[in-house]
This record gives sequence, structure tokens and C-alpha cells, in this order.
Amino acid sequence: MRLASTLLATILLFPACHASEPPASAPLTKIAVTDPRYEGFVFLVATIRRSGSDFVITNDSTQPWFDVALVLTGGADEYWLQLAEVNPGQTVTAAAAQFATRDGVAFDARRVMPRTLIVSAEIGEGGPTGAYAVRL
Amino acid sequence: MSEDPLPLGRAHLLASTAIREARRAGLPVDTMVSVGDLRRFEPAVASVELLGISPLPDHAAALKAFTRLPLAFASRPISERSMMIRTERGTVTLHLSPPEQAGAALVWHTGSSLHVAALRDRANGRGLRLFDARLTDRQERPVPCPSEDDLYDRLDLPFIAPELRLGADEIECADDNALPQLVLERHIRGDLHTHTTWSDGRDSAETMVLAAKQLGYEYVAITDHSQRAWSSRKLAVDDVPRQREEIETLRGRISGIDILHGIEVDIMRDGTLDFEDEVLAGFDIVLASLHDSADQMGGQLTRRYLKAIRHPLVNVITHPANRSPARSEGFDVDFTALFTAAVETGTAMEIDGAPGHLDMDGAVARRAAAAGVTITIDSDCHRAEWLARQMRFGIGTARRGWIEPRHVLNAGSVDDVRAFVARKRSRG
Repeated sequence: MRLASTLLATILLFPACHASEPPASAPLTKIAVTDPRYEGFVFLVATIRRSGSDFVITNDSTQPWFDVALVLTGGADEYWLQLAEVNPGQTVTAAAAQFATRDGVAFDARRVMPRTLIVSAEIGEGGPTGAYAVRL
Repeated sequence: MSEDPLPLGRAHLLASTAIREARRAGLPVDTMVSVGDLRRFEPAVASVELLGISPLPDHAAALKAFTRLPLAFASRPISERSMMIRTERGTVTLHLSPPEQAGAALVWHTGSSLHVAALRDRANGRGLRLFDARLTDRQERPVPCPSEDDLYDRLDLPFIAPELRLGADEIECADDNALPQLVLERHIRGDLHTHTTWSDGRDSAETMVLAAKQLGYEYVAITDHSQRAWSSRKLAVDDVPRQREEIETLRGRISGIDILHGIEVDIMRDGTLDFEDEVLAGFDIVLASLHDSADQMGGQLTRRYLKAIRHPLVNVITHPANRSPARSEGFDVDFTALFTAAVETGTAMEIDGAPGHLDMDGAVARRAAAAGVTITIDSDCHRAEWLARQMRFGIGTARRGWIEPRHVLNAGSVDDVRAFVARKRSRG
């Protein structure tokens, strides 16, 4: 748990554009979220880019996101990463290696090709729940 | 370890998680409850504090176990009876009290510093000493105080509800036997502000209605966002008849709860409403909201509100400051002018329980009620599972505003609500 907390803190504090990181890609194309688990969700106003093996996610809305869940699909599995909060205009960077299955198996980019990334969150406190998906 | 205040909803989740983990870990405490800002329903919580009741010999073990909860990644002792832990979502402090002083400890840790200081002075005047969460006599001998009633009783006061313990005029009013009979959850008979998948809600109208019925409500209003609302999904005017049809079907299918077909219509830049009057007239209740300031300042925003309040089809002004606790103060509107117009026109004003609003806040709500404004307490909920939670926040906020059931429209029956709407419409 301590490690997880440290990782989360690192993610939240890590600047989006780091000098030694490869430049972020153009915004990835949004796709429809067809998974029934996201039925009723509105769209998040977001931008997602890639920077090497990292995902660079920006909250482009004027509302904070809470309980932000990032779900990476690849192979037959889903890999999750949870963030407490992403503020309006804030960009967070999540490394692929920080995602893990519900059983704790870390995402391994050498073994699994990521296919989609779905970001979901509560928009504002007690507000709507939204999702945003991109094909990778 | 001081941090920015947490919005009430976040703080509540953090406290709930800490209490749940403490139970799982088997902390040697009989009871663990939220105190401080959280128990007073402060919209922005400066520190998440818990009080555990346990015999003195168990205190050291309880504090040690608290530092080892899964959510804790650092800890710092505050005193022999208090420990602070740092979590990824903020700090949590656990205070401990022996059962015989639980009442004094609850009051000590719940009240604002002003409230507690006033009680301390009052204790001094009675040969007692209220200090460090304990009540003693002048010789430092403990005076048993197992409940809050006992503490207030020792100080010749009636029980003062936690939400009132702000150090304003509550002790003076208690002395004069003039405390309000505060609204309680059981007084609320329906929810007049909910969202469904027809706009930006997550759940269908049916799911929301069934959840409201499960809570024991007698009625619920489905009030989705109008077509130009500042939300990510809206109810198009062309979809209103289909929504009405669906609600009519639900009325036939779900017994035991009245379903009001309402709307949360946006107040536009010029104070007009987002739907035409003939559309609005078809709804059972009309809530009007100002989500987008359009870069206007207080005077202009007030005028927009006043125009909406004077509209014969507008029944409730929702979350009037449009604030976001711990983040934004919201609109600088002239509440006195709004209250006067609301009373004149028979328009209610809302206390919105969504933790992103909690608006009107307690102080404003108290002024509204004093001015004679009818109040609604609503969840403004976007998902069924949080209907009760957000209504609780709304009620806590209302209690901070000294709101009594007699002030609250939805403490009345559905017929009272319909009559309230009809009265304004009949005035034209």
C-alpha cells in the first residue's frame, strides 16, 4: 500500500512534459465507449496523448475529476490505475508499467500490446460520471 | 502537516474509509465517529478527525494500530490520546477518550473553537473545568460525562446539535430556550431534484424512482437539464414528450411513489429561460438554475435571477451561488434581493446536497428562512446509489442554517408541492 501511495503521489506530481521524456504525441482519437459498464456515463472533456510508454491525460473541463479510473485493455486482460483527483486543466502522466490487473499483475509492454485506454471519473463532487476512451 | 481543506464529500469518504479499516483491523475501540468539521457538516473540511471511545488502558494499543491501517503511509503522535496519519487523500487524526468522558470529548472535538471557548467559560462560572476533552472540578477530579447531554446539562444548557456549534449565537439561544427544532432525515418526504440518462445522470428514470421509493420517499421529481444547459448531456426540447411518456408509463408500473415530471431549466444570459413557456407549462415543477455566469458580475447575475424568480412558471431556484466548496465561493449575488423576490412571488430556494454545491450554505439558508423564503432540500443526484448520501449532506447543510421542517417544501406532501406550484401559476 505504501508503494502504491508513493506511486500515486509520483504520478500526480510528475510534470507532464519532462525534459528526458519523448515528446507527447498528437491527441489520440476518441472512440465510443460501448462497454455496458459505462452505460449512462457522459463524455469527459479530455485529451489523451502518448509519450513513449506513458499516457498523458489532461482534464480539459472546468470541473475537477474525482475517483479517476484508468483502464488499459490488452490481450484478454484489463489493467487498472486509480487516481484520487485531476483538477481542471491539470495534466497527469501515467506510465504503462504502473497499471495492474485486479489480481495485481503489472502491465508488461513487452508481452502485451495495449489496445484501448478508458478514463472514467466523477465530474465535480456528486456530479455526473463520465468516461473517455481512445484506441492506442 | 497542514493541508488545503477537503470538500465535505471527499472528507466524508476518507473518514468512512479510515473507520472501515479500523474496524477490520480490530482496533480496541468501542465506538469510532467523525468529529470536528465533518460532524458539523462544514462544506470545506480543514481536518478529518475521528473520536474513538475506549478504556484508558487500551489507548496506546489503539493508537499504534491506527498508524498501521492500510491507508496510512506516515504518522505523527499529537498527544498521549491523539494520533495523526497521512494518507494519499489527506490527513486523519484519531482522538481517544475513556467512556466516562466521552460526552466531554465529543463536545470538545466537535465544536468550533469559539463554541468550545464559550463552554469553557461557562464551566469556569460553575466551578468546573472543561479542558483537553475532559470535564473536571477545580481540584482536577474528573466529573463523569458519558454523553453530550450530560456535558450540556452540567453547564445548564439543553443539548445543542453539532451543526449549530459554530460559536455564533447558539449558546445564547440555548439559554433562552430558543433553539430551532431542526429538520431531520425522517422529515423529508420527497426529493425534488434528480437527474437521469435523459440528461447527464448515470441511471434511468426507472432506477432513480425505484431507489427513491426504497428510501421511503412519497414522491420524487425527475428534473433533467434543459437543452442549452451547461452540462455534458441535455434534454432536447423534442425529447420532452418522450420523457413525459416514459414517466407516465413508470407511474402505471411503480406504485407507492408519486413521480413528478420536472425540469432544471437554465437561466440564460439575459434572464430568459432555456425552454419556451408552453414547454415549461407542461412540467409538474420547474427548477431554474444559473450554471454559466457568462463572465457577468454580481449585479447582472442578480438581475438574471430576479427575472427568473418573477417568471410564473419557475418554482425553485437551485444552488443559487453555484459554488464549489473548498474551490470556489461562487456568484456574488445580492441574496437579500433574491429572498425578497422569492417571498413576493412564492418561489422556493434550494439547499442542494451535492457535495460539489452544498448551496445555499448554512448561513445564507438561515437568512433565507428568516426572510420567509420556502426552502427545498434536494440531492441533485446523478446516480441512484447516492440519493441518500447527498440528501444527508443537504440536510446537514440545512441544519447549519437552523432550518426547521416548517420551512421545507419537501417536508410536506406531494399535494403541498403541487399546491405550491399551482399557487404561483395562478398568479400569472
